Amino acid sequence: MKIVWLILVFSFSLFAQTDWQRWQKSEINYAEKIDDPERSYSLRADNPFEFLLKTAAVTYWFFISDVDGDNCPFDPSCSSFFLESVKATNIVEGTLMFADRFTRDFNVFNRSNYRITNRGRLADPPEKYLLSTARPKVK
Amino acid sequence: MRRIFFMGLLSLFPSILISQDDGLFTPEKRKAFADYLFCEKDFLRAAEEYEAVNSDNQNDSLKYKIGLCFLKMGEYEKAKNDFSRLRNSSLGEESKLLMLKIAFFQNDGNKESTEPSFKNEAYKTASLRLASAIKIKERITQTNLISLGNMLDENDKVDFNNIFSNKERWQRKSPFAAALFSAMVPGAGKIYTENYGDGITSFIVTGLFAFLAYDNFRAHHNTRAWIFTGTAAFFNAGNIYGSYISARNYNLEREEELNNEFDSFLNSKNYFVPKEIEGSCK
Repeated sequence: MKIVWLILVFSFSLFAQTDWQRWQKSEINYAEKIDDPERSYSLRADNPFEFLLKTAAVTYWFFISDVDGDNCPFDPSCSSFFLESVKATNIVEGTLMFADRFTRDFNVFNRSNYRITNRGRLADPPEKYLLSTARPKVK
Repeated sequence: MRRIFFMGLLSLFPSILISQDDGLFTPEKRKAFADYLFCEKDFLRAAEEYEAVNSDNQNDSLKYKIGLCFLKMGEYEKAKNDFSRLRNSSLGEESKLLMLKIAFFQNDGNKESTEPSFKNEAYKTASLRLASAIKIKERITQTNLISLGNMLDENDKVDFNNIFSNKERWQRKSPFAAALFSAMVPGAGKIYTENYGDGITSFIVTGLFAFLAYDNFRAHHNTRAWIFTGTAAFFNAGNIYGSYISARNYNLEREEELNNEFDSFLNSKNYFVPKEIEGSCK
């Protein structure tokens, strides 16, 4: 009989402890999430032109950017921005977008008008600078 | 003896439990519980409780409450479905007004949705204001806002004018002018769009390469000079493009701000819908 009682008491206390994780407010993170945090070194491309561009970018990443260190304040980095811009538009518009971004990269006066990404960088996606976008996500 | 007493005590508990079981799920108590959940803003469970009480789907006021729960949760299609069934009931006018509110949230500018008829004068006024707000939400212009402002009560009109008659809110930058300014003086377009840091940077970067090009041409170092010319042209072309986009983004930001202000104004006025028709809580 005692054993039965003991088993009963222990089983109750075990069930009581199943809710061991305390409820608490969740931490809100306002940082902007960037979808592709890792660089893709793959040379797979849809057309020869994209292959050439990708080869140039991968060569730059491998021999210069990676050796130089994680310096770009923006997310995506300037080289990724260039690739994404050309992919989203065409070589002319993509190059103009890149030239503008490159100039903004030199700006040491004021960079307060960017959101911060989850990696602590300045969010500056190419979608914000497309001519064709009727309503980009501003700021 | 002790064992018998203990057994007797044990046998009492289930009888107590069963005796309390009877009244817990009566429709009145469930409705009272649902009302409590509604006032606690636990709309999901409130809707479930109302649905349980209204299992035969005969009670209009419960159907209305269910619709309200869905409306408050942002489940607009479900809310619309419930309110549309009440069009011809005693809560028909209230339901039509709330459907208009849903049309606002869903950006539904259809004539059918925005022009229902009302007998109640207060609801009629509210519906006209809300229909005007729907038009403004589609495209926010000064003319549209003035026409809504004219429909408001004196107190609301003062608040409304304080927010929207500020001239700075309506200032826009011309993307073409920004591009033109940057073509004339590098960075001027960005300064025009109040992007001072980028404007000054553009001026320095393009100016530096232009000077290097000039200096090398003067010294007859033609190859270097052409490289610097190309670099300066590259940065200036990007700067002209960037200035155009900067002006466009400036305008979009102003429009976004205006829309947000308009939304918060409407929210403070409960979208012109009388609060008492959205369920009263003490």
